[in-house]
Formats: sequence, C-alpha cells, structure tokens
Amino acid sequence: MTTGTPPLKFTTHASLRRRLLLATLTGTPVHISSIRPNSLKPGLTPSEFSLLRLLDTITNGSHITISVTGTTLLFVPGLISGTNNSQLSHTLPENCARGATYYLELLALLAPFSKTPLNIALTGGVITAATEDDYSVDTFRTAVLPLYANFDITRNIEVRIVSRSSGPVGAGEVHFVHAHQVRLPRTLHLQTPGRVKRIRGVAYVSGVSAGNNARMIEAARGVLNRFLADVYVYSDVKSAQTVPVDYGKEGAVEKARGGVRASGRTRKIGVGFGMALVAETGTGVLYSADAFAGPAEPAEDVGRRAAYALLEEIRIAGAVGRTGVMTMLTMMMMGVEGDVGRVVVGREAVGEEFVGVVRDLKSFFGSEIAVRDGEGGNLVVTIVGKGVGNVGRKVA
Amino acid sequence: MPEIVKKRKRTAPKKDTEDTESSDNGPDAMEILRRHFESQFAPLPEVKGAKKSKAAKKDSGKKKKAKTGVIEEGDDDDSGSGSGSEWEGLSEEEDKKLTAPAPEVIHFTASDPLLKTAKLPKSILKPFISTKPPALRAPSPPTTAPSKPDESDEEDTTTEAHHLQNDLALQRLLRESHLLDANLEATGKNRLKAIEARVQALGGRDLTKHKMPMAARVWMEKSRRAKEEKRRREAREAGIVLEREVRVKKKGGEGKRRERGAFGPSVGKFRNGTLVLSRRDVMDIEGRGEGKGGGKSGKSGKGMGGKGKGGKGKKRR
Repeated sequence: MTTGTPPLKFTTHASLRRRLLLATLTGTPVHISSIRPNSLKPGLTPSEFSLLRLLDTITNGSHITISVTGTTLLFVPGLISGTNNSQLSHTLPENCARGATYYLELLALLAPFSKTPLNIALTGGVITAATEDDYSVDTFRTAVLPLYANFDITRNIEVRIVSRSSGPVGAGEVHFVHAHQVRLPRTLHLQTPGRVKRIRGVAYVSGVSAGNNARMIEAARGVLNRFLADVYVYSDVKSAQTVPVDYGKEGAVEKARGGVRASGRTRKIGVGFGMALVAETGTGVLYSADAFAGPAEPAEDVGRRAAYALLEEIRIAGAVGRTGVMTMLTMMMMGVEGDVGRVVVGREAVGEEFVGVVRDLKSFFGSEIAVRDGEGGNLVVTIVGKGVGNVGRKVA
Repeated sequence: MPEIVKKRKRTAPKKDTEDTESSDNGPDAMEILRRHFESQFAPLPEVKGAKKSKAAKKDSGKKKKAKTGVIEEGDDDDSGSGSGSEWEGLSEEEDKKLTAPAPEVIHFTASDPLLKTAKLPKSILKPFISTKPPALRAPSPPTTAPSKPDESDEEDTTTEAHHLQNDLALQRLLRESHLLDANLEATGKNRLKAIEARVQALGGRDLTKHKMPMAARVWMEKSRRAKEEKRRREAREAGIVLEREVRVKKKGGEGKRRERGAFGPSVGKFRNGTLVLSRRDVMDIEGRGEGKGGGKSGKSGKGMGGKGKGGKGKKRR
C-alpha cells in the first residue's frame, strides 16, 4: 500500500509527538525504538497511546505497530482525511497526564492539510488548564490559533471549552473545529516584532471560589499596569466534575465494565485555578504566558507569576513567542516550494526545543534553515518552503 | 475562666487590625488579659503590647511591613514621577530587620482606583471570549483619539482610489488598443465597437447575433447536427475514417469536468479515501475512449505513472 521508503529511525520518547506530526505531514514512516526502556513503567504512556489512536482516527490508511513491551513503535502514516463534516469524539484515558493542548496543537497543525474539515470532541481525561508541560486551552485559542492568520488560515476555526478541568487528573471536554483546508500555506515574512500594545488574558477557575479569579487578576494587573494601561483579563468560572471514586485508577474502567463504578460513590475532580495572559504588539505578534496554581498557592502568587512569565516572554522578544515557534517553523517548511520565508525570533528563544524542532525538520523535510543576526540582537530565521502542502488532496 | 480567655482571644486581633473604631474607649481587651495573666503567673516583660497598640493607632499598613519584612508600594500616588517617589527612608523597625541578611522583597500592587474599576468594554470582550480565535490586530478600544489616524486614513483611501482608477484606465486602453486611432481615441464605428465590447464584458448580449427568430435558429442547429450525424453514420457503415468530431463546448461549463475544490484528482473521484475510476476514466486512460480529445488522454497517461507507483500518501510535486 505505501511506498517502500525505509522508515526514519529515532530513539527514546523525546519529542515523540513532534515526530509523529512531521511523519504524518510528510507521509514518511517512522520507527522509534527504546521508548523508556529502563523506566518502572516501560514503553508508551497512556497519553501517547491516545495520541496514536487520535492520529489513526483522523488519517486514512495509517499503520501502527507497537512491540509487546511498548518500547518500539513503527508508524506508517496515511492520508490526513479529517472527520468528513461529522463530529468525532475522541476519549482520552482517565489518567492522561498531558493537557488537552498536547493533542490540540497537533490537530491544529494537521487540520489545514486534511482532506475534509476536522471536527473533534475531546472527552475523557481532558485537562483544559495549564499543566507542567502544556499550556492551557485558553492560550491555545488566544495565542496559538491566531498565528495561523499569518498563513491565511482563518476561517471556520473554533475551540469550545465545554467543561473546564484542571490537573493532575482531569475530566473536562473540549470541542475543536477546523474547516479551513488549504493546498499550501502562504509564505511568511514576519520581521517586525513591534511594541506591546495590549495585554489580554483569561483567569479560570474550576470547582473553587470565583474570588480567586479576582485576586489573580488584581495581582497580575498590579504588575502589568505599571507598563501598560490596556490590560484586560477575563474571568471564567466553571464547576468541577463529579466522577466515580476510582476515576483515574489503572484498570478501573475494565473492572467496572457494564456495571456501576465504585458502587456509585463519587468525588469532585479537576479542581484548581490558573491564568493565561497574551500580549499583542502593534504588528500582531503574540507573546503568551501561563500560570497554574500549585498546592496551597495563594491566588495572588499565581497572578503575579503569570505576569512575570509574560514579562519574561516580552523580554525575549522576537516576532513569534516561544509557544508558537514549532507551529511557525513547521508551517513555513510546508510552504510553497522554493519560496523563502523569514521570521525573527528572540535570541533566547533558541533553546533545546528550538534546536529539536529544527533537527526534526531536517530529518523529515531534508532541508536546513538559515539563521543570521538581525536587528536589536534578534535572529532572523530563513526557511525555504518544501511545497509538501496538502498531501491528501494531491493524490492521483 | 478559660471560657473568658478564649472569647477575648478571638476579639483581640480584630481590635489590633481595625484600630479606627474602638482603640481608645477604656482599657482594651489585651490590657485586661495581660493583667489577668500577670495576677496568676509572673509579670510579663513590657515590650510588644503597649507598643503594638500605639503602632496600630498610627498605621495598620506600616505594621504589616514590619511583621513580614515586606515593603508594599502602591502606585496610587501617581501625581508626579512614576515610581516610588513617596518613599521616605526606613523606619527604625525596618532598619533592624534589614541588618539581618534577608533579601528585600518588593511587591508592586496596583491600587489606582481608576484602573481597578475599569470594566471590560463589550467590543473587546466579545471577540476575545468567543470560541473563535481572536483576530490579530483587533480594533483598539474607542478611548483613543480618532482624529489623527483619520486624516492619514483619508489620504490613504484617496490615493488608493486614484491608483485603482489609473489601473482601470490602463486595462481599458490595452484592451481597446486595436480600435484606437492616432490620437488614442476611438471614433465612428470603432467607438461603437468599443462600447459594444465593454457592454459584453459586463455581461451584456451580443447584439450582432440574435437576428433570427428562436424557433428558426433552433431548427437550423438541429438540422445541422442531424446532417452531420448522418454523414458520420454513413461513413462508419462504409468503413471510411473521418476527421475527429469537434464538440462545441456548452455555454456554462468549462470543459467536461467540473472543478471540485481546487484539489480534486486529475482523474476519477476521490471518495472515502479511495480513488474511484469510472469505466469512462479507465477507457480514457487506456486511450480507447470513443472520440475523446487527444490532449486529454495524454494527460491521463501521466496519471497512470503515478498510479503504477501506488503512491498513496506519497509526495507529489
């Protein structure tokens, strides 16, 4: 069925998601070995299994082979077919440790190149708040999705947070609709970061007092208003979810198959609060920061932490914030063949993540990027588009 | 006895912090408690109690600083210079604290009543909290003075309009250049022709045609087609090879095939992840279609190459 091209070989679970994403976009098979071989729980985690399942559902003709221990994975991607105008429900495992944006970011990058519109409801162990590794769904909506406007992908994109839930075990629900499919994204030239003109944000609370929102907002504004008057933070209050007592325990679902779980006893889950801030410059560049309350952390500290994190992002500068670097570089690589796109990034945005993205882009697309010094200590990243575009739409 | 103690303990901190109402009406609770305690045990050292009550009378905020080692600085006094203009050195207590090598923590808190009470205008709130991603460069709130940008905008629009006009004139000139005389003007018959061409470009009818009743025209067409068909049929029966038939394109559609999306396959239909080839498509590819254009079959020939590779998910350039 697929071409006999040998799969790209990778090891370890590091940036597994990005590799699966690039494999799907380019149609290249990947072989990933020694995934957590020495861990107490070797192999893929539940969230990674769920990611593979999700990729399987939105593509057509994918082949996934996982070894018995789960430490080796062969992924042969199919066409990105989308969900064909009907809503598809994807249930995350109850003990999913990653936030919803772990999946949403991937979906947002795949959706423009899918054959039909994408309409997915994430249910099950969905964490909409920010977690250790992932930003919140609010940041995704307000700071990551607008980036696609730079590539002329704007129409019929929606993210609806049906119910909010916080980590470590969540039970929220998010709907994601993306109905703007393109053949090739526009070539990007983003070289003027501009100055921050406004700051917006969302303070969210699930299952705790709404007063936390007011306190977070006040503390964050206390920091930010010294620099800028145009600071507005929206407050969103949602209730916690009621779930069976054994929710999130391993094997709980299997145990109660068909019957009532935990003999009907329930508990509240997904309780917590946090804040997502977005700074927008005059030229439409977005910087974003997230903070989520730790155990027994007062709301003021969370608000202040979010504000400081935002200021740090603004200090790093560049025409794309650190949250959007992977999105930007990948979309530029997918662009019109031979067209040269440029984007300015802050010097400190070049870190482990950035280098990882560039290395993976090289191994999948086979071309390197050029980086040179730009104005004001920033770096100008130049990427030549590979014209891969919408693989699914160009078949036959 | 212990009951009373409990009760007073509860009320004591309230007095401590909210000193405005009843700090000077008689001996306060702490004083009574202290006397009671001293009558039962040893006298207490005279340090905090008295000082505390005095300090509380002065300024509750200042006391907090001394307790936590935190200097709170509000920017509610934005009269002159921006930051910290009101700071008046360190008090004694703070001085003592600072002799210890503790880091100085400064918390900035906004207490500007204007900023605090500012409500989110609906025009900003709506697009931001909707399910759609907010548009980049959203319109700024209407608080900004609109006078200056307006002028430049106006200028912008006028120049833009000017450019557009010039563009149109140039296009027209190029299109009608064959009708123009030495002075770059169409005169006489040419002028009428130019006008006619413009009308047609805008979707008007071609007046040179349609000079015949509809029924007669239809009949003419029909008989022409019948004659041609008869000629071909007779030739086929006699085994004579005729020239290829040239089908007149229908008015509405461009070519036989409707353009679907912009990404449709060049041959067949892509449905449910499979490429469906009709019998006609197959004949077309194999080059034994009945009376198909030569160019068409050539194109599908290329498509065959791709199929041979079985390139599902294969990158095509």
